[in-house]
Amino acid sequence: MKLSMQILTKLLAAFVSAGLMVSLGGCEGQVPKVQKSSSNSSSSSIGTPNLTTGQEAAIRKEIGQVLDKANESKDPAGLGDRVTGPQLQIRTSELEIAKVTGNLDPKTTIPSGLAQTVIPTNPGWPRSVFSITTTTQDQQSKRLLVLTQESARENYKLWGVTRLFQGAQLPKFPVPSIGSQMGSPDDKGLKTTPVEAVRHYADLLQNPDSSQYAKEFASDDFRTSMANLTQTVQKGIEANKGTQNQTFTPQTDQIRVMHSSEGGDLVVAQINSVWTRQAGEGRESSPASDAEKALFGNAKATSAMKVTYVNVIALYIPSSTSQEQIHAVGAEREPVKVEAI
Amino acid sequence: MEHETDGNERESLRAKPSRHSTIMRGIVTPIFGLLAVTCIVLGVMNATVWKPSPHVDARGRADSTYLVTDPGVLSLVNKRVTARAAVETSGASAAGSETKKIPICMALTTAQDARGWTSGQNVSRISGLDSWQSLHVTQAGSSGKTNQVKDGAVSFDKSDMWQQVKCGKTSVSMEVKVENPNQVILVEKGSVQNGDTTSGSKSGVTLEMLWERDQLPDFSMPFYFGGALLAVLALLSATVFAMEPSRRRKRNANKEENSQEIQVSVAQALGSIVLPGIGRKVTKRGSGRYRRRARDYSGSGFDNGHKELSEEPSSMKNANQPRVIDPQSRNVLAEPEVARHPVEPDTGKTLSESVGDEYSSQQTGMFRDSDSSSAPGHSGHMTYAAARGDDSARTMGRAGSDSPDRQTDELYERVDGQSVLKDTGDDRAETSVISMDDMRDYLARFANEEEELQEEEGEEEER
Repeated sequence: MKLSMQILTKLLAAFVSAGLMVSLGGCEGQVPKVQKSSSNSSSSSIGTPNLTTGQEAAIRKEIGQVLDKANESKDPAGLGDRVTGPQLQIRTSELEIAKVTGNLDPKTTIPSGLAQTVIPTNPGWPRSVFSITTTTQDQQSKRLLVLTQESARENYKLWGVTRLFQGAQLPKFPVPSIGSQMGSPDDKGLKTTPVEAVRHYADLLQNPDSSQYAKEFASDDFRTSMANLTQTVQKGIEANKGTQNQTFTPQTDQIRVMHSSEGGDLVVAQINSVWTRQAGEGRESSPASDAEKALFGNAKATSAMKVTYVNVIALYIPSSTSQEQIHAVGAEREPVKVEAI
Repeated sequence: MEHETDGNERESLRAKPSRHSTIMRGIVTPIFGLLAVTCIVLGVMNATVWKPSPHVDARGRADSTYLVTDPGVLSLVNKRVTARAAVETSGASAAGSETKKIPICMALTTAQDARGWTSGQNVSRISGLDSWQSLHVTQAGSSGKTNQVKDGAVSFDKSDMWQQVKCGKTSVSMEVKVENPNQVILVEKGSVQNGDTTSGSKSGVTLEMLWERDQLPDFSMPFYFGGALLAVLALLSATVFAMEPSRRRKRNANKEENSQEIQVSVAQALGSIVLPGIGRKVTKRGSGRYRRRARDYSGSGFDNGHKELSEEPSSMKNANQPRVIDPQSRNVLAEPEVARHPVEPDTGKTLSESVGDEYSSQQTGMFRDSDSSSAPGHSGHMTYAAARGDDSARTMGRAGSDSPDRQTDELYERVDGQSVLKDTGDDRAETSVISMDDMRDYLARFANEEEELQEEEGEEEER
């Protein structure tokens, strides 16, 4: 009897298991569910870069095509698609000069090769991308390009171009597959906030000998060349008992900041300057350079001349704990308006 | 003898199979067999006809201009997905003579970019799979006012933000390989650029997502396992379980005995060639029978030992079983005393053999002495002999007995005119195998003693 009970239990177990298996058969299996937690946490903590390197290259290519087209026709009309900000003003001026002189200044060349790109992960707008090109074919220095996207519905445009100084040390940035962080004009934890640094630099440019901020900044090629230029012009002006005056005005809304991985900020900002030259002794004040001459054109010269320049400066501001000074790494200077007053 | 009884039993069982066996073989085994076959068949069906389809085609429908998937939805089933979006033209709009072709665009982008593009707009979200055929769609909130798109805005297909973009008239299809869980698909219906915000507002968008499943659930393996298990059960119930439990046990016991016997025989054979006495070590201790056999084999040479082994198989077999003393099954040749003197003429021992036996018994005499010190039954025997007579009468002489009956001389000694079993000094006395004649004599003597005792007691009482 015991044995038959064992047999019965075995049979029962077999039937029950068979029944379970039959109910499973014919199903497709469970529908997969979205793993929400993992995706949310990963996107918020690390973030994905806003562009892939492929997308950035495509954008630069498009910009290059627009620029090339404008270069060929010497017509700045189509620039607005892909150029904005200070670069739009500079490029327009360069094209007008080229129209007169027949050739573009060599400094306007933007190489198509890429040395480094810095792509942020910040999800909002406006967004910037800092790209550093290779050197030009005629061994000019690398260009630092700043591309910006003002809103989600707009495309990236070339906002600013600075020519990097020879031997300038750029800070380190994370690789584009990881992405970096954009900064803001009032970042704390640095030697000065970015907007303050630009103001101090403008002051230093205006008053190279008497500025109180001279100690904050290391010497750089731009200030050196500015000093040389002013000295040269000063000699000429003193010869005919004239005066000259330069005022530098930082454009505080035209500033782009990127955090470097060393703790400091790379800042690209626009500083407008106005150069007023007064010729003495009833002389005429004439344009000081070929560019000014081209812009001035056939206008009537008077004793005073006012030239408006657009300067774009790239500054590296170290963190407040660093021993370094703020130093400029690149600059661009272009006369945009020449008028006799 | 047990062999014979086993055989008888087996034959008697085969003659009439028990009810247990019929049930097992006739009912249970077919049931199990049938279940096993059913399981295998179901397994095969699940592997072929009922195999889950690897194609997944899920659809979702929305009415808003924008449709976006949630992060993670694209790679729900597989990293590769084909997404198709189509504009549904409702029947009412067909009333107009021109059927407007509403363009539709689809882009692969990151979740934040899609959010930026559709900020201020009505967006329907696809958050997952409701079933294998339908997507879960969360319809857009019906906020009446949507932000007007600026003039400087770029068209959908020209935007820099998309990683992949495709546009089409009324329908568009795109193949995507998802690398990032943050990637989503954004669908825009109608072209909003021209300020034509009403186009397509009455038609819906269907989004279809097609995957190929890499891992299909395997429902046939459990069936195969079950089938194999049931087949094994069927086999067992036809063979092992069908037998009587008692027979199974006995068979196990027989197996053990056989193995033991074989063990001893091989060891013994080897031992007698290689080292005398090595066979003895292998055997079990504790029973006089084994020790006796070992002693026999140790010095007597291979042939002799072998012969004696073959002549007494039954006594070894009973080592684990309760000792059954059958006075009839005594092996006369194995007893050293008898072997020394070939009294029974039918044994036909030769002179050389008897000499050999004498030698062996000399050896055994040595061993006997050593054994006697440890024999517990020895003292019992002694006391009995002592009770019967005093020590002086006891002689352990071998030769020089003037009794014509040499056998009785060696086995028995004369104590007070009575023939008494000699104290041979080994503990065979516990369970000794004796002949029927001896047994009768012994019993007769015992009866006589009783009478004498009673007479003595009677005499004493009378005194």
